Amino acid sequence: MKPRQRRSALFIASLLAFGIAGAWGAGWAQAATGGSKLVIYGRAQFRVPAEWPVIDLASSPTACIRFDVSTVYLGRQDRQPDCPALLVGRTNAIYIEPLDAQSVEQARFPKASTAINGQTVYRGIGTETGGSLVAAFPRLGVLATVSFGADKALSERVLASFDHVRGTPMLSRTSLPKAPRSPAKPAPPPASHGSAPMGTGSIYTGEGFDACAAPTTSSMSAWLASPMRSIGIYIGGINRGCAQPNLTSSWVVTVEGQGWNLVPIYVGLQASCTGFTNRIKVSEAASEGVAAADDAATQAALIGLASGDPIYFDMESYDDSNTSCVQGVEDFISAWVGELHAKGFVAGMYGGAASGMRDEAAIYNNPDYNTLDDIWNAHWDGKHQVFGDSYFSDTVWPNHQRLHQYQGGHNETWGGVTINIDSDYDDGAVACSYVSAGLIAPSPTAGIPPGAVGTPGPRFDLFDLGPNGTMEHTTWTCPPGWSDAESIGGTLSSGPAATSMTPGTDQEAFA
Amino acid sequence: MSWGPGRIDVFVRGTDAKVWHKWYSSGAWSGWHSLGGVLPAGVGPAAASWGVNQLEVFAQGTNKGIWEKTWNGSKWSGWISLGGVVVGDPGAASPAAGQVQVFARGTDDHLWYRLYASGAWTAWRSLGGTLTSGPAPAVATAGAAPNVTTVFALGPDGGIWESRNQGVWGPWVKVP
Repeated sequence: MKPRQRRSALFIASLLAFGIAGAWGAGWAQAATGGSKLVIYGRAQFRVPAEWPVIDLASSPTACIRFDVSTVYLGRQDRQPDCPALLVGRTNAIYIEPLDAQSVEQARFPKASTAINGQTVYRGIGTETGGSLVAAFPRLGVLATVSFGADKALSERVLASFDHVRGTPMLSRTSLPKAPRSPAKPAPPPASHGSAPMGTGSIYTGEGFDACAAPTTSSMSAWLASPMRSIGIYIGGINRGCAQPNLTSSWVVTVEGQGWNLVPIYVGLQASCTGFTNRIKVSEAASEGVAAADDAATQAALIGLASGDPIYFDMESYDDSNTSCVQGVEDFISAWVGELHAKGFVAGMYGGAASGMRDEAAIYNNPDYNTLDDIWNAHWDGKHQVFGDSYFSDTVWPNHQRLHQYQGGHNETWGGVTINIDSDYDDGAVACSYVSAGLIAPSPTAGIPPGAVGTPGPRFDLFDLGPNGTMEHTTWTCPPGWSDAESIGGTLSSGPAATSMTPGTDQEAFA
Repeated sequence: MSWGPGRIDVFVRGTDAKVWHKWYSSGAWSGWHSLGGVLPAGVGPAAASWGVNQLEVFAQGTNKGIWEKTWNGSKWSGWISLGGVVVGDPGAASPAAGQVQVFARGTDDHLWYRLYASGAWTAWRSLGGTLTSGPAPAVATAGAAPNVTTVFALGPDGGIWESRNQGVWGPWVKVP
């Protein structure tokens, strides 16, 4: 396999040069108990605190790249990682991978480069809210993701130590590789459409799972052997525990095309009374909730999710007898809901039945708080249902607004691929797939192209020359996805064309 | 097509094989005006606008390539060749300000497109698929998220298929 050869070439000089007493800056001596060590990866070198272990993904191909323990990860992961299903929390850690068309999709980058120790570098835009510094070094051929929890300065110092390894040839390119503009081979429409995906727009009812790291597209394909058709994906947040080397916009369209429904999760600040490093400040909860929603919307857009899609805030269990802690969560989530709505997204929350869910249910009708559109109830009672929880009433979120995580981390094997997952039963909002089945499809006249118009939402209206010369109309919005095709009459002798003058208020169709 | 409130532009192939244009503005329709060109029988033009007073008209020429004519707010350009060997009507859309895409069915029945951005056209690029009609592209704005572009076309089963771009081009899927 090509990637493996490339990786071993990069590793010529790596992993040999640890334990060299550091020329740390003044700050290092305070931050690192045992001094520092030099790590070499191909043409790049950098310094980390001496006690950080180094994991080489070439020799440990299924290691979980996790940002909740201080570790150095080197290389590209192309195998299914052995991650526990749920990892929440973030500290200082670093992940170095080859800079190429895949890794460059990890962040948005500015047009102009800057320099670290004279090395050309592009710093990822807006990644700090999510607890990461991302830096692409085109002449060194590496992309670095340096995570942080409470101590951003330490990660800045790790990044500031990046340099070229003397004696290794630098690459000539000073620009970033281009992200792929299309999947390698768009699948041609098959002659028959026998295996229709199960998605029905934005509401999904059925079995699902979530995993710490988005599996490879081939693993997702293998898991179509399961009854599950939804997957929770961790799109960002300062407490997101796992690296997401697979989670790109190409992954999203490929996996949606396979028939999967996506449940986007954002793991930001946790309740003030928990043991997590990155917690809500009760007095600033509202502004923190707004910042989380802004970043979540940015991260969602980066992987191709759009207005109308839900984002679930992952609020891990907390002590709900602590009134100040509860107040912080309620203020935070109310602001999260309001800001996500302003950005056009559906606002959800994942939480424990006896903490977040019960507390949000208690203010469901309280006009002082913005009400969540959807909940994802974590209650490991083994029940494949969304109602009947003993901790809160069935009268709240009654209308296809609930997901239920009924089992915690365990291994399952489908199609020969084993993944550690949490299990879910869903009857609620998932990201709007444009793949659906079970609807009345249009019956266009052969050879006559349809007419289409897009309007804000996003919304598409499709007009075609249907049976007996009438015009047919079908629409896609998010929610609820595609509509049934309907005849809107007329007697046409040509294909239709459509436009809108004031998007959202009018549409004109011509034929 | 429309560049904004109160404005519609319509382009058709006339019986003289030329492109004709009329528009709706200030509450009234104009007469028909010829934009010239020579279109093969049975094909029509496509148009897009990336802003007020900007029009891009595309049509198949007698050499089976795509030709373009531009209104810049004060005058029409001549017909400019964009090359390619296409089947049927092209489609056109503007994914963002200053950008225009033209789509066409190739002789291999794949969808092909060129993007005009930053003042230059990209080369023709295939988006795969098996088309049995010309393409119908559309662009929808999505709040804070990037615009979504989609292209509809008939597939070999006679149904409508689409490929969508929400950052990258997705696979072909059937509607609905």
